[in-house]
Amino acid sequence: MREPPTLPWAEVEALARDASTLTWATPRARRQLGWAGARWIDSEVAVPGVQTVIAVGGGAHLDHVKLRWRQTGASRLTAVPTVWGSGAEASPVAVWTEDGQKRFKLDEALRPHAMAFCDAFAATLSPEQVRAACGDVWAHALEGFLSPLASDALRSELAEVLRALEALPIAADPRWFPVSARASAGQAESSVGLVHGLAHVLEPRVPGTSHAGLCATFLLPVLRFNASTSEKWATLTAEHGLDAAGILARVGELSRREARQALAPHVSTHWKLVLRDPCSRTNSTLVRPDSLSAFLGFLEAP
Amino acid sequence: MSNREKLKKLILDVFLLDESEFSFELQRAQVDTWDSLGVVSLAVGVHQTFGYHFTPEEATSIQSVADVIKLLETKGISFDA
Repeated sequence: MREPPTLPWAEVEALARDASTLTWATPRARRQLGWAGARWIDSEVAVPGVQTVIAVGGGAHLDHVKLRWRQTGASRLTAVPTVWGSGAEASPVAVWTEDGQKRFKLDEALRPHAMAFCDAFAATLSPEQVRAACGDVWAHALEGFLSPLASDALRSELAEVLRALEALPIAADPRWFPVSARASAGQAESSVGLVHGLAHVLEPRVPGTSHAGLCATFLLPVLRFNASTSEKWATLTAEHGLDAAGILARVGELSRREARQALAPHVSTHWKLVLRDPCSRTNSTLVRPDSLSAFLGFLEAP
Repeated sequence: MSNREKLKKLILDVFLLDESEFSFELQRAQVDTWDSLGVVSLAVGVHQTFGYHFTPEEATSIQSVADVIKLLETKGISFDA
């Protein structure tokens, strides 16, 4: 898996104070960092002599900067996530919403040159943000591992990521940051599946939902659906020495039954769009028009 | 269900076609959803339905429903009516 090198945090703080560096952070991250002497920007303004842009924020902000930072004239991008989950700091992918649709761009030029993690950001997350973020990481690792596009070598690497995830509690623990980056770098080399297909279709259509929260909610029923339609889940987890039952139990901690039940009518309404989503079409098992009733059963199950 | 019927249902489901759009003479070029992702979905569906895993070369070489039948018949899967 290709990941940017990780810079020590002290090195990033020194870099931010260098005259040739611009820092493009969300307002909240800027307040928290409080870097005296840093040159802050909030748009793709061209600045003579600039070499590095440091992007600091959540996944949507990092993707926004990944698409625009070159217009400042800089030649290097360092990405610092304030929450784990998207793995935008490690991937060559950018996702944005346009006309109510999720758009993607996959381009190696989008991958940051370096990434860095600040443990203090973990302490700012609410329990609900933590649950959602952890679900997004698990979804990247599991869907990338099960993807029909994953090579044997990539599956072995993602199996290591899954073992690391099994050891992590669902908590505001900064150890999630580097594992999230690895999971995202891995799925970018294969694909994601139905979890992401559902999240991409429903997030713009169901008020109050978030990408990460939807991933956390749908991961358990999608894994159960996959296991019911193909032996691939059982076979691949056994081949790679993974504890399938243990993984389902951990994923079960992320998915609340009442949230699944509340989303069921939206899944029914938008099922045709879910089937057409590019992520659903690279699910580990075939998602058919008449799979809906079975899937609704998994949403309802305890 | 015969293998022909199973294949017909698979093609309808993978490419999200109406029954009226299907024929055993259907060509890839006639189907908008038979793109690169459709190739992946078809390979996944064939594996689930018939137990045969296309190689990447086989999956991308298929240009029609008839090609699917021809290829699977070489693997011992019969499509006799």
